[in-house]
Amino acid sequence: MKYTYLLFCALLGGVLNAQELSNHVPVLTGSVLVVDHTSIQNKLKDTPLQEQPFYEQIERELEAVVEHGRFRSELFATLSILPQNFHLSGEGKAYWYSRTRDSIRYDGYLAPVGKVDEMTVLAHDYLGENCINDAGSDYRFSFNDDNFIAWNHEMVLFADYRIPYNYYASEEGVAESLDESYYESYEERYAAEQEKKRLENRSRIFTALEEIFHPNPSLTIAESEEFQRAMKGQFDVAVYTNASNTFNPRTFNLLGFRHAKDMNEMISLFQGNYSWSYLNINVNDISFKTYSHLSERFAKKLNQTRKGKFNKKLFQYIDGSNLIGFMGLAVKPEPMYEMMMETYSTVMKSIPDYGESISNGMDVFSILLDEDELFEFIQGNAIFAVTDIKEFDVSFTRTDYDEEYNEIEVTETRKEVLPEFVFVASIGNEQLRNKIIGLYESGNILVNKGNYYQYQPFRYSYRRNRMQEEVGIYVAIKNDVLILTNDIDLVKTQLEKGVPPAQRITGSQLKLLKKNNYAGYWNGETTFGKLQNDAFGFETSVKEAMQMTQDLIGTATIEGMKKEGDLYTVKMTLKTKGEEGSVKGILSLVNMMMKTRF
Amino acid sequence: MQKRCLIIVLLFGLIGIGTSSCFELVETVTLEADGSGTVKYKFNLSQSKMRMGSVLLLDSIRGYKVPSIEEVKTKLFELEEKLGSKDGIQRASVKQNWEEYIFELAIHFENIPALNNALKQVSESDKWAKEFFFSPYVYDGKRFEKKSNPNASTSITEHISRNKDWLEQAQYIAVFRFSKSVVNQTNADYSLSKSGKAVLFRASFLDLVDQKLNPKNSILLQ
Repeated sequence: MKYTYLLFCALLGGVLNAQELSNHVPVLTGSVLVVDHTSIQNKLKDTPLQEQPFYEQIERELEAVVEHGRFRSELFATLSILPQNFHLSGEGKAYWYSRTRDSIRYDGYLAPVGKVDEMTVLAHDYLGENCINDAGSDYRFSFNDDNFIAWNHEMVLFADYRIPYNYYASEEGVAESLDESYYESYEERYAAEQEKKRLENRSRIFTALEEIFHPNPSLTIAESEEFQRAMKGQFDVAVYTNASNTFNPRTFNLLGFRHAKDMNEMISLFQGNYSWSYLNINVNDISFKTYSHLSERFAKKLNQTRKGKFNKKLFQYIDGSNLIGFMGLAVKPEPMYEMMMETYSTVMKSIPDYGESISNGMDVFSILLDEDELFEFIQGNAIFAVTDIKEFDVSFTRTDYDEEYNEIEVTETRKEVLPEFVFVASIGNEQLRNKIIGLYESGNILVNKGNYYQYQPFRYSYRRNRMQEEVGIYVAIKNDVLILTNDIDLVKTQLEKGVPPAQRITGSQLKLLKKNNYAGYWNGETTFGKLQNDAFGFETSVKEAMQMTQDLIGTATIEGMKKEGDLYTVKMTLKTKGEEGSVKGILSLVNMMMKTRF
Repeated sequence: MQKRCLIIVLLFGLIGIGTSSCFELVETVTLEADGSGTVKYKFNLSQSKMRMGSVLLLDSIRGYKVPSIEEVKTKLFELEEKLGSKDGIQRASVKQNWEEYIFELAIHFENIPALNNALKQVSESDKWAKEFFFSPYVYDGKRFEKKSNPNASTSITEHISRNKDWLEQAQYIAVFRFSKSVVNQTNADYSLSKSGKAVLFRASFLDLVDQKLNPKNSILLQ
């Protein structure tokens, strides 16, 4: 009985393990997108995609792929939501990653297989009749010039591949090959060349597949402690990135910087930096949360930057009565600057030809810069807010005629619905800022209007009368706050005391700014409500789509950076409304958008 | 009408403003006594300029591809080059005002047949414009005729009909200016200038699409 139980456990373990494919994903992939098929299928079980009106469009697109006998990695998105259509099991996790080897580069989608007996037919459908079938020791594969599909009883890999130009070969190593074979005709030679190319491709694909189907366990992502940590949470889709795998000589070669050099310092700079994000579609919201682990070198600086806070005086210039949204940043600028300069300077050093000169230039710039002066001026906290969507007077040119029908250019104004915005930032160093304003004023870019300035685009410097008719952008400085806005009332009548207290942002919006270094807020309901009310002249179907969006979307927020243990997190949340829940709501919205062709 | 098609073909993506559009298409012909002259097509999107910035950020709208600024510039440059090199065309020039979104094509021609021929050749190089080509003008020394498009019921009209809401406030203006006085004309919707040497036609695009108005005219000159 004891042995039966152990055997049962071993078999069950084997089956469960068979669904876990991270022990087949090469560790050297910089980023991996992990799709939890089980979770997604669970959420879609009450609203199967096959029953959605837009499913027809997906089918048409798949037919087009089949027709061309070639697919791009964009197909992988369809694989993740419709796994059964591709004979995948639809359970467990799938891995979407890019792998760069010297001999082959490919984007792959590795997922648990479902109907393994159907794979040959499916491979033929998607790779075309002329695809070549082959096999490894315990797997089969089919390929053409662009794609390959490989499978065994456990998994299937869809891949879009390229054969890279060999950056690593030294000039001496590239020997010109002389083909001494004799061919009767051009066609015969062409066929021989094609066959040779096929054999080369086959061998490169085979090498890539051996790494997947017969991996060295220590070289798979499953063995990475960082990756294991990333996989502990609940998610529908996760993205894992390891910076030390991303910033390496190979990546630089891909970016076109051949023979990248002296990489040790750069590799050490990013060593220990990794991050992952979870996308979750929940009943009443959609959340995207990023976790970042930073090396001690970065973490120390980041902790210093996080000490920045929003200046409370900024809040008094933001009108919250019709608030559409805002984005705010509050950091200590000096450590932020040092961190960026150190990063870029180190990265630049590794880039051949011009990189070192730029790096040296940056170092010299840092020496010459009067940092005290600069960081007294830039205080590191600023907010950009869209405070309303309303009608503004906008000038335009139309054609008119005199009594002889000679053309006259007439400038008129019309009402146009536009966003009202304000950008506020803390600034100090009165002497320096006055100098800068003075320079802009003498260059006719800012026009003094008493307590505030009007921005004058260069094109109106010789046509001042036109500027009066244009939507204005105004600049003012009050209480060490720089204000940039297109709301004339704010700089003309509210500059001294700010927006009346009853109209200012309050409650959860204010809390977002007070509790975070990075804060964002968007009110979807107000946005779409305003767009509809202001009668843009949308056609009925677009109005319906907007109404549906207004009914579905609530508010969106960004909160960061929080410190959770040794991790830094930024969370974006989009609240959804309505009884349908976010999944049904989104599907209805997609259907409506497809219907309106918008 | 043909040139109107040409401009629409060229800038169709720009018309896709997604909301009711305001634009003007102005066709101006200045004809000298010897039959030479200038024709100008001005496409004025100034009234929609605030939205054009947003539209140009999109890849497509309502299924129509939105061209990039570079693509439009290249097309206009090609058009200028092609027209300018045709027999009987002295010069072709394009003015582009990307602040106000006003675009103007001017063609200086030696005679009307040369102009028609140049437009035909350029249209033939574009598979869509080719479908709509017709000779837009006739001049025999005494009578100037403005033709309307006999192919107007084909697919361009279908496109326009499907997107009528875009054209609610769009205008078409035609001005024909002569060195001689106008004796009479067949289309009463054209008004005559004070000196009697120019005629003007103004219509909304919707009226043209619905065929309530037609720019076709035959003008007898002294």
